[in-house]
Amino acid sequence: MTRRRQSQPSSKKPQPSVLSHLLWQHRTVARSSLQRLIRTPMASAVTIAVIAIALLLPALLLLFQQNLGSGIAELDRSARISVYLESQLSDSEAEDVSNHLQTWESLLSVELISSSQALEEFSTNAGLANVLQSLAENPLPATLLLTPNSSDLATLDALRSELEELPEVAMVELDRTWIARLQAITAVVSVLGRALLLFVVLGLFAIIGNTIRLAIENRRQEIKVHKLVGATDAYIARPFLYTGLLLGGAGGIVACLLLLVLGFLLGESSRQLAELYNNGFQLTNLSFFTASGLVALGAGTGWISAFITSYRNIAAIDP
Amino acid sequence: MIKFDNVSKHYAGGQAALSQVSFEVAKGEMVFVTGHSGAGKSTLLKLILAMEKSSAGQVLVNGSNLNRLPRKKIPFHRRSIGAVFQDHQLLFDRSVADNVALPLEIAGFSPQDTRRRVRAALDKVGLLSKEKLFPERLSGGEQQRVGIARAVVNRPRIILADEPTGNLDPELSADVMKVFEQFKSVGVSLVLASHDLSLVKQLNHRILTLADGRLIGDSQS
Repeated sequence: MTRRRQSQPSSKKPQPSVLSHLLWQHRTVARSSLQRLIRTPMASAVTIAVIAIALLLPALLLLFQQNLGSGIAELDRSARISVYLESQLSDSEAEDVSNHLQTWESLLSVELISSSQALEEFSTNAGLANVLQSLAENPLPATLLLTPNSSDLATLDALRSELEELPEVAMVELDRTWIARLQAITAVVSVLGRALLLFVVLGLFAIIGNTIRLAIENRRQEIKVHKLVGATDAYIARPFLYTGLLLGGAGGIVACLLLLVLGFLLGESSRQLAELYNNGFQLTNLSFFTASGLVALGAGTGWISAFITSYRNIAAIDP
Repeated sequence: MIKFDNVSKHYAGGQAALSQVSFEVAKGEMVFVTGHSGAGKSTLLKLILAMEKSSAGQVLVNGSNLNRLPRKKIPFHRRSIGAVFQDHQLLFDRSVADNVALPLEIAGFSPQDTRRRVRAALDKVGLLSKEKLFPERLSGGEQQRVGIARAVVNRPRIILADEPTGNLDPELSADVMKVFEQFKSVGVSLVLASHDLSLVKQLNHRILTLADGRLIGDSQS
């Protein structure tokens, strides 16, 4: 050490390759934040569990809404119009109507169930063979099962009135009310999910903010010493920001794991439910996209709340 | 380097810790501040380190007026100063070497550079053999010397020390003074507070004497 160099006041030129040095510093800080969390396993686990459960609620609602939505799409595709023909029509007349309807472009398919077919089906399905046999005449009309091209409710309504105008048609049944109801429910669930998400984010701010505040309080003396030897608030805040990021991210990961477990538990019963509705619908669990969104939400909220808390609390510590 | 211009400092209670103190410390000058406890020595050092703000008058350090120094710039101001505290202000969950390394880490030195400088600083205060120990294993005098090593490790322009030899026996005190004199000889300005008049007098440096917050003696003028 020459005299000249020693007399050089601390010129704070960072060493060559500033970026790699900065990365090294961040890695070091991130690692020590992680080590601090591991050193208090119970406290960290409880915080992460609370964050995970908080994240789980809106995620569940979101998945519920997604599944409901795809269930409805499935139902829409199988939306059918049942057209009951006048009972006095003969089988050949019914066939004529069926052939006529097949020319309509708004219909994907037309299936004719003649009155005798209907009787046969009814007696096997409903177990009413004896009762029906005792009747002199077949009381069931011929039925046309129409699959429309569109699942749009307005189009379906128009189609229905068109059908009703045909003289051979006695009654048109379009099951639209419960589709509309389902859609309304999905909308409610979606709004509920978003509102819950907002509350959860606010809750996460409180949880993580409080954790960070306590951590800062515990290290008050250390922060004081850092300030005395020239640390900026940003430098002092850095480990706490990583703590928030890690806690939130870990909470997101745990929430994803819980969702997977729940999906597994629900898998069988939801399949049964779908079968009952004659529906090709399958429970969609966590997509990769939703999972990473959840982790990002946790980590982002953690970082931001740590940022706000640490700057406020660190600035308040005066050496 | 350091200039006090009619500086007064009142605390909330109303008593004046310093009143109308004026002096100047040049580059490469070593000054002792003496006086009884409560005379205002610590307050004077705190003002230079921007731990406190003067109630009246100007404190100029390194050409900047500390009354007008924005909060954000205080850390950078402190990096140009090495301070030794009466209560050492060491971190007890870090080794001696890591304590001394703190100012360098904060200023963004590379690990290699940090290590080299830390060893040099510890060598100066005779604690190189204890670099891996934790401060609680050290005696009061050794802790004080760790504080001195930390103050000089970043090669500051100004060194402040509050009772730097308070816990040291005469031999170690003399050693520490030699370290300070080395820094003086390379152009560092030093302000050392001490109530140990006998030690201060035999060292033959400029002495500022405070009593009840007033500057009542300046051996140079």
